[in-house]
Amino acid sequence: MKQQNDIERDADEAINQPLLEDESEKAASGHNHDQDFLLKSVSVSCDAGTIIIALMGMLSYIPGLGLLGSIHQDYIPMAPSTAICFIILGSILLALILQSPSKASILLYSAMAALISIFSALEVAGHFIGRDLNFEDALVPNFGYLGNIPIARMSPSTGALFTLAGLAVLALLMRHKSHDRKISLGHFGGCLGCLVVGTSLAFGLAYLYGSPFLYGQNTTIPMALTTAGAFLMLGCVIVSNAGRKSVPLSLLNTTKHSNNPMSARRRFLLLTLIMVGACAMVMAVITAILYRYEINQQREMLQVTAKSQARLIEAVARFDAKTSSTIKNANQDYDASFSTLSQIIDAHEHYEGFGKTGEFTLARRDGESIIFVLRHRHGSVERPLPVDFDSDLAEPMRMALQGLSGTIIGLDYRGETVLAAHEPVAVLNLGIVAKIDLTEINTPFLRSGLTAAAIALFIVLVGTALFFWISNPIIKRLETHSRKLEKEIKERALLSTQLKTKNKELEQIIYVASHDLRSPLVNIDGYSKELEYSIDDLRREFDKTQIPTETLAPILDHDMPDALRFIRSSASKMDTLLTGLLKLSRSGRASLMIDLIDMNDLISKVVEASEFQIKKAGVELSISELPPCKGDAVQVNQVFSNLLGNALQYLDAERPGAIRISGRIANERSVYCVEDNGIGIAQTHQNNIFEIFHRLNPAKGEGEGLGLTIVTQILSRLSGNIWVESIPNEGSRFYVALPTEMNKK
Amino acid sequence: MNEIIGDTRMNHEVVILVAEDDEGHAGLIKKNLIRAGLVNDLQHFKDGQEILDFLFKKGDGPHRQSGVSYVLLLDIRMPKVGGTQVLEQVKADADLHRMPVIMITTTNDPREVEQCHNLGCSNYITKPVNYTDFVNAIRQLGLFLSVVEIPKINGISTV
Repeated sequence: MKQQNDIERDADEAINQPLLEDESEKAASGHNHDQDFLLKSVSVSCDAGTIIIALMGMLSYIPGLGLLGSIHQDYIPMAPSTAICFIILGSILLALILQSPSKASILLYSAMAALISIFSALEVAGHFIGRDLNFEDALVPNFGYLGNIPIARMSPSTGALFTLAGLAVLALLMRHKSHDRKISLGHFGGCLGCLVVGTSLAFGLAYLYGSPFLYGQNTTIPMALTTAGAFLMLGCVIVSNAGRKSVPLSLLNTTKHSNNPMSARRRFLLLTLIMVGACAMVMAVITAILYRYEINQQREMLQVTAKSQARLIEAVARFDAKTSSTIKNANQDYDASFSTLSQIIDAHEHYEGFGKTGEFTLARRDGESIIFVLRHRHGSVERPLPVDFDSDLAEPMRMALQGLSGTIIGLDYRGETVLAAHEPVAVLNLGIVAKIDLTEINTPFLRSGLTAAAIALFIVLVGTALFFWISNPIIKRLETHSRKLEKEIKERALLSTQLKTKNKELEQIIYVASHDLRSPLVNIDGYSKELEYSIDDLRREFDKTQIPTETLAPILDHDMPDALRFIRSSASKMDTLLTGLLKLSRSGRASLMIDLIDMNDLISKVVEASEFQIKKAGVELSISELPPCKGDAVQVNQVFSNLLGNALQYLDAERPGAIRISGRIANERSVYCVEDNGIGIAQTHQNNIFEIFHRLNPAKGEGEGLGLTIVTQILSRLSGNIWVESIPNEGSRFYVALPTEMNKK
Repeated sequence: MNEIIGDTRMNHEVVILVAEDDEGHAGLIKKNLIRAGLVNDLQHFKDGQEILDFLFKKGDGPHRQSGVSYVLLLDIRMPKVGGTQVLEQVKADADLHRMPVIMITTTNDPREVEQCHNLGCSNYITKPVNYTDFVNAIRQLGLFLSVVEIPKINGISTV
């Protein structure tokens, strides 16, 4: 049921792909691009590897270049038919990677891939039926043998893998044709590719155990090591070509789930899988190396034993032969070799053998059969039955009796696979074999391997669980954290856009207000003045006409002019406020030119501009050396003009005014102080003074109540700040902090 | 060319066009121009569209006449078509672009002033709320009009 849903979702995904890529994958597109590039380079290099190996396999059939097709002379080379299949599949895949193929070429490629699949499937079938289909006789009519393994013939395992690989390539090709099933075909191809990779890896690992493991006793052709390597690479090409979204790769792809993070279960499974895989690989390699080492050790041991026994027997036989000449004189029937043999048999009675299955066998050839002379450890018969010389049994002994010295893995007289050292005994025309059952060597490896695997699995599970136990809370915390952050960022972005709109609205309102609200004021003031003119005219007319004006006089002289004066002064005040608002809105919009400011220069300019007022107020102004700061010169000028203006405006009339401007650097900021001995600000008012239109003493002096508001606005735009210290009737200190040049670094 | 052909009219024969949506402002301008001693004809237009119709001889309203000198007092904020748009169209027209245009506006926003000057206005006057300032401004305008040679527009007849 769930799978059904998955398939449906995949289909949806395929249809909505452009949409999806637009929305959810936009963020990860850079990452995806990197991934695609990686996949492409892996594909191309693996593909090239496959083709090169196949070409070398072909070349090896040219006399003298034998080693090219096989990494060791004891290993079978790749069959020519295999090499051809590799070259065809590799070329198709290469064409697919490098360019989008045309319809005709897709048809051609598909036909070739299908043909390879069918051919290799027939090859496998032929093996199971037990009939060679003789496809390859056309390529290499007279094939050779390596041991008893025929070479230059495709192995059934190779055929099986070619069937899979051909189908996978076919699926990848179909993807270009049918867009509806693009995703599912990708999954199919990717999975088949994985199967090819896994199987070839298993064959490769098996070679690590030594070729006997594969070549063994059977006459079936195993997959060549080079073939396994080529399949490994071909599988990789198929998997990476199946696309980032296909099953095998998407398992590893975490970015796909960036919106919906991998579930803990999925993570656990993936981690366990990877760990188990890694452990298995490491164990396989280690066991393989140890096994080879053990086999070699045993081989050497057996060979040494066999040789020393043979030499010993020869020595005894020679001694017997020497002494027999004297004895022969006395006893005609005396046979030296017989006496040697009986001595050996006698000695052997007291020696059962080595290890659990290890033993010596001694035999001679009698016509077409091998006659064993020693009692054998295995089997109950006193005297072992002779073995036919042409049979498969007693292979080591056959070697020894043929005068060959060496080691072999083969069947002994019982039909058991043994590791044996064979040595001819020259003097008596005997053969001696020291052998040990292969199972005796294998069993501990198998047992320890299984034990180690079980332990490793346990450790991996415990380790993974532990890892999860430790990491899960962290991951969960990170996840919730990131989710929270994401939410917060979204909220902030929303707020920020809202704020921007609001700000724009506000700017607009201020602009419109200061613009349109002034319009009526022009009329109010203008027509009030017109009324004043009219009143004057009226007054003059009354004076002219001598109409008694006792009752009208106060109206014309006082009531109406007073009313008009109030109207006009209010209009004027309102105009001042509106002008101030406009100024504020403009200073908030002014563009900034941040530069290093020489404050001594700037303050002297500010003071110059207010020279008249300073002289008029009779203020004693002192300015100390000022550190530079970073800001917009025009705006900073405005700040200090306003502060100086305030200081001048709120001087105490009772005492001579004194204003001091000083500066220092504190905490990497330039802090300036404008200090006066004016009326000061009560503690309760100190925060209000920075508010818009707040005026300390509305009745006294002029001003819009905007000076400090503008100062605050400018400083916030220049990353500066302002604060005040003041004692009523003693004076105020306004501090301005701005970034120093040190912040620049 | 046309100035030579046509009569050189006296400056008081210049017609003052006032494009101003606020009737009050228009009235004040009129009153003060008269008080300042200007006796020229004065035509009032209530919005940007009206003045454009007049200048470009469109619609049912009055149309400008050939061979008459005009000076345009233009408010920036007007319904339908704004003052800057009117200025733009006037300055883009081959016949009209030499007509003096004086912007009369409530704001002295430097950006707006700069924009108008870039478009080619002859003068820019902020409507001061303070009456005396306003009178001074209008007087200056009167002085300006009496000094400046106002070109006549002969419109289509020259084409």
